[in-house]
Amino acid sequence: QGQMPVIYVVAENLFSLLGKTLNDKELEDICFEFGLEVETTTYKDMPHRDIVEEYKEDELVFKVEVPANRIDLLCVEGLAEAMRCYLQLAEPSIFKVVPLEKKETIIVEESCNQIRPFIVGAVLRGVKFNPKNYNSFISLQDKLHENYCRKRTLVAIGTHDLDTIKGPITYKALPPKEIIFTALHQTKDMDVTELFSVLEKDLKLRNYLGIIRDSPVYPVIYDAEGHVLSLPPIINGERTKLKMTTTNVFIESTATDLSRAKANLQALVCMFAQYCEKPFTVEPVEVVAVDKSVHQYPDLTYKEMKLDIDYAKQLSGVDDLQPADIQKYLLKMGMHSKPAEDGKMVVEIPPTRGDILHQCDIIEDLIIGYGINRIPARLPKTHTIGKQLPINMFSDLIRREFAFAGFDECVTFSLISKEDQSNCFLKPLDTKEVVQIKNPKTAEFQIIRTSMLPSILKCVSANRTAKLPLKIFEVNDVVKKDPESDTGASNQRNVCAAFSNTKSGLENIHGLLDLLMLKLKIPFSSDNGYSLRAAQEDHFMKGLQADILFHGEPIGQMGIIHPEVLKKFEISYPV
Amino acid sequence: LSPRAAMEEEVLCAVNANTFEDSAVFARDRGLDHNAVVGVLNRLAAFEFVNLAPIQNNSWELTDEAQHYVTVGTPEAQVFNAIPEEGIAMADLQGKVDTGVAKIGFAQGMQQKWFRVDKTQGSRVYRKVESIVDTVREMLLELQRANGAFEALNKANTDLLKRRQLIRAVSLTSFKVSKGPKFAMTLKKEATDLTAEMIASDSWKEETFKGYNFNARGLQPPSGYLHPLLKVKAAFREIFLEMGFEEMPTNNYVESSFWNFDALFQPQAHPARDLHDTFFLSDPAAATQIPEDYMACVKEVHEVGGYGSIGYRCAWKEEEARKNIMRTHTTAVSARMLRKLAQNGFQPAKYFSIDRVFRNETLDATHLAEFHQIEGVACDRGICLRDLLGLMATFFEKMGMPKLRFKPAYNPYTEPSMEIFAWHSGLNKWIEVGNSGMFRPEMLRPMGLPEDVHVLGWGLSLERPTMILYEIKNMRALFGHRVDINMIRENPICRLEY
Repeated sequence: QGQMPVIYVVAENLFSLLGKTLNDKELEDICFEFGLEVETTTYKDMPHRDIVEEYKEDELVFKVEVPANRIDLLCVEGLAEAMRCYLQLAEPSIFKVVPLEKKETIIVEESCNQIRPFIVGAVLRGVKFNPKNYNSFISLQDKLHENYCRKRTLVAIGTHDLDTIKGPITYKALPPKEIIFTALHQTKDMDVTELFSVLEKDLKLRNYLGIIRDSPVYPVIYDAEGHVLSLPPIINGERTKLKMTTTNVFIESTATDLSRAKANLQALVCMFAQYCEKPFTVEPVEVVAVDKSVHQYPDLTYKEMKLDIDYAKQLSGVDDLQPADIQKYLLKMGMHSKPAEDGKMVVEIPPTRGDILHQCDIIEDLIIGYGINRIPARLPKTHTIGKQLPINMFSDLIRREFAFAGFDECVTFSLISKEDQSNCFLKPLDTKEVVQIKNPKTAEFQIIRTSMLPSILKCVSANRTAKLPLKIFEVNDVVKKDPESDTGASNQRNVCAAFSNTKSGLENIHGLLDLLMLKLKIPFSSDNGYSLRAAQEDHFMKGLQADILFHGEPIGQMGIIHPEVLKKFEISYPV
Repeated sequence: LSPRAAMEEEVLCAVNANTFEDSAVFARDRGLDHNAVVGVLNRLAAFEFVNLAPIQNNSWELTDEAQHYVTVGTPEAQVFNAIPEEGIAMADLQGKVDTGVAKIGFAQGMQQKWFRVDKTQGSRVYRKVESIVDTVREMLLELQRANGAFEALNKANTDLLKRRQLIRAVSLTSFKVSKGPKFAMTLKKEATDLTAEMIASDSWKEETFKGYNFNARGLQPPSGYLHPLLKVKAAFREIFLEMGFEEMPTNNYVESSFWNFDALFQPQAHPARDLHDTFFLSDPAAATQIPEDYMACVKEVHEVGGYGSIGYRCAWKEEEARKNIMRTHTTAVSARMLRKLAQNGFQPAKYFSIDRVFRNETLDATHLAEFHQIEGVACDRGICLRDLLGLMATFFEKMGMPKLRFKPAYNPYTEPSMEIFAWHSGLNKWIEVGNSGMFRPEMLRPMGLPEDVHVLGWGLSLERPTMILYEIKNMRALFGHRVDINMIRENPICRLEY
């Protein structure tokens, strides 16, 4: 659930950053233990090659599946950093924000609160781009946008050539008609209404237009000279665009979720700070919030988190963990730690690790550093008694009796279309009873069935070439609206059986009912058992249908399905 | 006397008179089907009443087309007869005989110089000779009279008929029949079954019994059949029950986002909560009852953390939590059970369920909008990862997968989380068989579970192991109304041995 992000890295590129070459098997095993899935492929099959790099078509490429929470592994730089530590080839890199007298400033105007309230920023100074790292920088932003930023809804990143920008920068929201600029890859100024009609044709960007389209004001970032840097979360301006020749990179990132924007920025700048003039350093950007409070981003402090060694032992079951071991294993996972006076460990959480919320997250890393597959298994001492859910046990007994009686079991979908329902019952949907789906991808799944009859008829229809007589049944849940339930709907266990032959033979279904009642020790009696009473439903034939009563109350129906219904289900034999 | 018995009698007479030279001739002379005669001969031979000496016969057989021409005349004769004295327009000729016949007949007749065509009057056909002899038909008749004997026609004529695909070579084995060691004029009728009457009268002592045909298929007993998916489900239930697990009440397909996501510490911004992935309900759209005090705890742990966690540090909306959905996993029910456990005074517990879950998918060979999730949960004070590994080892060994390894993974509500891989000796590779982990404190503590209570959980789909077990490639062939009833009827019992 929730697709895992996938990245493609050129083997040679990874190994050069790693400072070590591994064969496929070694890499696969290491990645497995670390929690990554690797497949080998070639440059030819690598998607999204925006900039032509000088690789052969059969150049070895790794396709790596990254856990959704590890945004620091979404590019080859981050992957190499993590693996260098894990393989104990190097200590973790230390990222720093350099103190600056004069910082780039972003002033936030109140209008942003209506649409996209937050903005953060950073500067990478003296970056040396080449096709490899430039490509990686662009594709990391794509990966972040798609996954952690939730398709730009929560966070959007814009990167610019700082030398084309004159500060201070203003972040505000304006009506689309009032925003006029030349957007990336466009040749002329346009207002945003016009721009949107152009971008509507852009296969990628058109997916994001909906994030702001219906808002009366759109977020926009201006520099001091009134040039538009970007229209987040859609597109940057052409004027300030990042080029391979850019050396000073200005990064802005707007958001509806500030925590996520910060974590996202931290991961992004740390991955690429190694290419700066002073490697692993980042220049700060100041944001003046609506309330005039001043905030500095990015925050690359190493937050300290206490790790309780006993808790680590309790959770993992590895009883002989010593502080030195913990230090060693955490260092493999990119974290420095040291014993504290209270007997716990103090762990420094790198700014790239926004996924660490609780010490259990550190313990997971500790276990990975130790090696999950090294932990010996044992059975828990927890003594409990096995127990079946009564209704399931009962259902299984009934299912067996039906099969013994010569009926074949079906397992059909709970979700059906409104058409199935109306075709079967020849009347409009009973909205007082039927639970409806809001957003089905296909019309097949519009409602939850309140009866299994439509499904059983679909089954008969799909098996029209099977040998006759066709005798099928299903024991399963239907769902009906129920004000008593906390969700407003509840399940009900039903049985449904059908007999189809060249002639209707209702006595076969009647016989199955009698058998069921016999097995349940329910006598044929209108007072204290079961009985039949003539019924009048449109979907059965007149006079050939009955309500099944239990102690005088209706609990089901049987009858010969009306030919009009059969026709709708394209069934040519009586059922 | 049955036709078969009559035939037997005739055969025995002929053999007795030593006049049975050739079964093919015998059959033809009496207007019998040769195959039927051979059937009788084989039966008599089996009882050693007669000896059979095979004779290879090669002969010509008239094709269906030729048979037809023997009756109505060849196409060329038909066309000749269709041309009147005064000639006929080519186009009209088509109307008087069948198109196919006209075409062949015209070509053949022209070859034989039976017709001439006058193009001056727009392709009019005239007879060129006054009368014709339908020689081809004569040949066919000749061949028929000679029973297709090879020597009945000369090579040129044979070739002609072959070329026109009017005859084909057939080879037939017939038999010369002579008396066998046990020859007699009557064959005693054999019994196929032992009857009650035979037992009562002791007549079985005098009976000969016809040997049973061990090559034929037996009579299939009348029966109904359980669905393969639920047979495998039953096998998994047994494993859990053997291991002391209690079944959870998962009969609530409709779930609130609260129990499905929020209670599990799944952030409200998680992709699984997209319209794209999950079925939301339009009616009833929102859950009416969520325990207020518990919801407040959940809100707090999401927004600001607690219990040693820093939380997600972003706004948590009750409105989002109340949205009803088709549950995306049965872990929603596990959450309800764990909360109940915390409220009722904690007792160690092991729970399981195998029930339906829903994803807003477009259907293909490996994705269905509904499928079954198998889930196991164990909770106790001080229970740990080693115990989880032990439970996995036992569980998967009972499934026939004794060799496991674990890959660290990410799951929003478990930490640590692991994917389970098992060695499949049939496929000769490691395959992913499930997910497992320890529930996060941010999920357990707001429920009111004591700090030292840890909860282990694992899950897998029911469909995947079923597909592997029964070698079914397409999920739609296993689940849904389109499933072939014959597959259900013929599907073997479920023994979980991979």
